[in-house]
Amino acid sequence: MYASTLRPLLLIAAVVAPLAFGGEARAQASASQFINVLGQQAISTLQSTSGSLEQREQQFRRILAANFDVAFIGRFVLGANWRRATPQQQADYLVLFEDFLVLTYSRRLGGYTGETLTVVGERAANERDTVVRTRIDRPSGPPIDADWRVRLVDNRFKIIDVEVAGVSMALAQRSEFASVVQRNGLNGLIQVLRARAAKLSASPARS
Amino acid sequence: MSRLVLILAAVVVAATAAATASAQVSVAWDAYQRGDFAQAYAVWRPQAEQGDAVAQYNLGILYDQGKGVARDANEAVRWWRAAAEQDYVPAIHNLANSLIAGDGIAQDYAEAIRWLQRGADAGFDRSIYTLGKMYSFGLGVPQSEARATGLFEQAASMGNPRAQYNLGRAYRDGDGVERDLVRASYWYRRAARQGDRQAQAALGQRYLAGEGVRQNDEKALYWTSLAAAQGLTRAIETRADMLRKIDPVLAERVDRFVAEFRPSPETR
Repeated sequence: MYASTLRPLLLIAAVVAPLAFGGEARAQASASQFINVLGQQAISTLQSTSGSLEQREQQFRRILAANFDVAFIGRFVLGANWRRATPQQQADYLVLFEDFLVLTYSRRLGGYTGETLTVVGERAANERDTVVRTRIDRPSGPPIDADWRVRLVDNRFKIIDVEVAGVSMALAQRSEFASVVQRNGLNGLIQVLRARAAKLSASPARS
Repeated sequence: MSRLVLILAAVVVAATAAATASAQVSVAWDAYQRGDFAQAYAVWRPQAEQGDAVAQYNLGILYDQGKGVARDANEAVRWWRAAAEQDYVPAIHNLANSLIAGDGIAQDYAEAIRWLQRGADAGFDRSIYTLGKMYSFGLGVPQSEARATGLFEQAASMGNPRAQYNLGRAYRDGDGVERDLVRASYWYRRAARQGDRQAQAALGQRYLAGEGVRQNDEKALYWTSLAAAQGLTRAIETRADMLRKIDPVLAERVDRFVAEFRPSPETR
């Protein structure tokens, strides 16, 4: 049941991995430019071999967290359950959700070489949001079309959703989270996120 | 005499085989660090098939994280279970997490608890901590803050930063223990020094309020800034508030200390 959430997520992870490793984009004139700068920086950074894998992964997660509006997405994904949560549950959930989001995306770090991200257009989704359409060409496998929903938050662009092949990450997570909460309560969901984050941040043993 | 030669030869062969295996582990480890997950896979796969528990565990990680192979949570569970059945504790712990998350296997709290207990019995701090969370939430076990806090205390004493943070919280709120603000700050500090960002933010709050520690705005800003630097949203907001009220010269000095901070892990 839960694993099914991760199928679209995994696809998105493939998209985000080359994009988000580039560093924070500042003071970009347009949403397209924001995505484009992130993408181009990512490609050069991904080919860098400096630092340990753990350091690169950590840097990558920080950049991801900085360029996504994690709190907004986290609240949206929890839906009506957000208001039912105690302040402590909300705080615990948001911290774990960030780990979950970021670890899910960064899973592929280092496994990708030779991707290119091309902005193919943008459109206004409403008066606040812009959708930036991109194509990611990969040496292995067909290209991926990804639509980035971008919003200006405190004068900085932030990604608030990603759609791959018409599947919204936020909506997919929202329905999965709702069913987990229905079965096991909010603490059950929190523990699922904790368990997943623990697994995804595990490193191989040396001997 | 010839018997002795045979024994010596056997020893040499065994030692060479062990050296080769450990050299291979190192080759795979280096490849993993370079991001060459395919090579790591190529080494660990045959070792795992021969029953090497560490290789089985490592292979499970590659499958779970989709490194060098297509992500396959079922395969991850299969390899972790193989290693867990050989009592390899990190694999026991990851298998328990798969069972809690329902990832690659149907969610099963009862079985998760059994594996966590096995990890805890072997003295694995992360299993002890996770078991504490299961008691705190009443998932697969009867809800008990007292049990939870006891387990946090056990893992915290072993140096587990998450358990230390949770123990600090239990003392702060009087969950399963008598409320004790001095003890709360003690455990927050131990986790904060290890780099736990939630504990850093909590310790900053202790200093701000002067609860369990002597009130100190500079130290409050210091610990809050460390948490903020790790991207903790609440800490970023609190820090902005603090900066509006504090002397800029002090703030600058705190920033220098923040830049010098290096986490000091207690274990591992």
